[in-house]
Amino acid sequence: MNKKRKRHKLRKDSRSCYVVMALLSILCILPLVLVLSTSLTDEVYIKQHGYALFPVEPSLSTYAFLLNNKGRMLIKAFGLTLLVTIIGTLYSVTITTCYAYAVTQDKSVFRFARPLSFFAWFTTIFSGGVLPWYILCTQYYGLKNNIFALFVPYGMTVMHMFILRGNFREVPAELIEAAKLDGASHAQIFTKVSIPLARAGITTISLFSVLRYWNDFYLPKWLITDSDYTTMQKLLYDMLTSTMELLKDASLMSSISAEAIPTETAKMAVAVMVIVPVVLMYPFGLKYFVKGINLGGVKG
Amino acid sequence: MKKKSLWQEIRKNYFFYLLALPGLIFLIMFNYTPIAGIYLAFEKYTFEGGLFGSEFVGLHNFRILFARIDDVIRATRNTLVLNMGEILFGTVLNVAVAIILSEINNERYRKITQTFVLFPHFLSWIVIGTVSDALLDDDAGLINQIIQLFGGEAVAWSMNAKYWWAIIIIVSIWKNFGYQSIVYYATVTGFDPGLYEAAEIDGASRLRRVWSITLPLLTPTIIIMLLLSIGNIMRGSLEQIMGMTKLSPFILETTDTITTYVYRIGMAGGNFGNASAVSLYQSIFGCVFVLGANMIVKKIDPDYALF
Repeated sequence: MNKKRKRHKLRKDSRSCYVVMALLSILCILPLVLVLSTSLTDEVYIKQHGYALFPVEPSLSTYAFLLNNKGRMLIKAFGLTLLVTIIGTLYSVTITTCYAYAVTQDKSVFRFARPLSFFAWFTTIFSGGVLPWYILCTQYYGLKNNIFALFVPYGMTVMHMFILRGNFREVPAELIEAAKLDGASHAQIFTKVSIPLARAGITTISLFSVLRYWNDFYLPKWLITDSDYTTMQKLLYDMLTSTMELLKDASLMSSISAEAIPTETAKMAVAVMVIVPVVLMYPFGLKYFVKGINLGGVKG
Repeated sequence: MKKKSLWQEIRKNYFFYLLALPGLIFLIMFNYTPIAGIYLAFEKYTFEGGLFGSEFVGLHNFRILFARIDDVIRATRNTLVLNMGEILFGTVLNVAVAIILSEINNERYRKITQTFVLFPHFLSWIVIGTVSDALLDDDAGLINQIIQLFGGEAVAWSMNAKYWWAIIIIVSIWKNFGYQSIVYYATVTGFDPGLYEAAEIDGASRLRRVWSITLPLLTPTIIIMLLLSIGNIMRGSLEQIMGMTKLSPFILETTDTITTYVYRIGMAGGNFGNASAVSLYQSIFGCVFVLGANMIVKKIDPDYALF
């Protein structure tokens, strides 16, 4: 720590580095500004002048239109996605934590620790492909058009398991020995010593898991055909593609622009509803994301 | 050491067996049974017959695959081009951003800008597809507005396949550079400050220090990260292409990857056997690339090897 600080003092600042990072930051945020301001612009304006980076006459009319006409659908999709995110994260994190703790054990305690590590790792280099998986899920496991289809297939992410294994390995052996001498059982050591000490890793994979479920389009695309189980991502995708269908048909296009139904702005408004929760959890999760990325970059 | 019988050991340490069990069942159900399900590539799948009971047809599916070899080659080409483009140009930007960040002394400024550039990584491909719609719309898109502002002609992005390699590569890099530069940044901050002090005393310029100290020290990490990405070169994200292109037929020429091809002929076209044959080809070559890349990484630095 000390050394680093000294180095920072010695080296002078370069103004160009500050400018480049400022430009890159703007480049990363500007497209999102575009989405937000489009959602606040009038549809007719977009049809006439195109997308605008800043709303000319900001109004909430698109949001009002959506809530009045599609309110039920939106709330349902939002609620379902939120529910899946919560249940799914609990489910994945539990399975992953337990498995990671088991494979962290020395082979004198748990003989299959290393083989099970390999068993999990092997799935990252070879897969049977998506089609056998799809047939198994829909035809044999009953994971089609129900809420389970939206989280059960994401039980364990092997990379997360290895991040956690790394965390459990850092728990000092002396602490575990001490707990053993005090007569603690395996289960007590797991819940009272190891889990609290690996809290940072568990938080990290929980946050990754939350984002994964919230942003997921893969499971709804493959396993959901019933509109009762439309998640936010699926809803947004359906809006993107169905307006494309409309645009292909020139005769319909004219009638729509006449009525000024907010199609373009509605897409952006739904996108805003998808992004806002991510923005809200982002500052809280940032510290853990950086940690998790560094752990994931190196061998777990 | 006396070896206990398995049963005795299970009874004594049943706790760990219980802990591993849900994960084990999950992996068997969702990873290993599908591997056994590769059998699909050798049968004429029917719903009634199921995954393991449909009519065995040998290499028939592969013969059909060769009949459509042009599509498979196109999908392979697109997969390789998109991945290579992202890896090569992305790495340059990732390393540059890491070095620039390390040159910023104001910790708050550094943290804030890092927060901004990391953000797109956490957006879904569908959201990014929405953003790119607003940017690349043929009539109303922001990019065409800018082109016209400078007197150019609006480009029909959605109809011209030739632009889409570049579009997808640029957007992927945009999404991921904040995230990927973190690993390089962490490495750069770990370098011995004494080297930089000595260079400073010798009057080396900033660029000189980056060129002669930072880059050489960073090279092993760069090579390793490159190899690890090359291991994944046969893979591709369905969500990425669907989000960006919605599988629009006008631009399939450059955007149809192996992953989307399998989806299109399997899921949309209903031809499971044929799609599964393509999928098997992807799995096998993917595995070869991962193992090959890992073998080289292991030679350079065993710490980074996956196994």
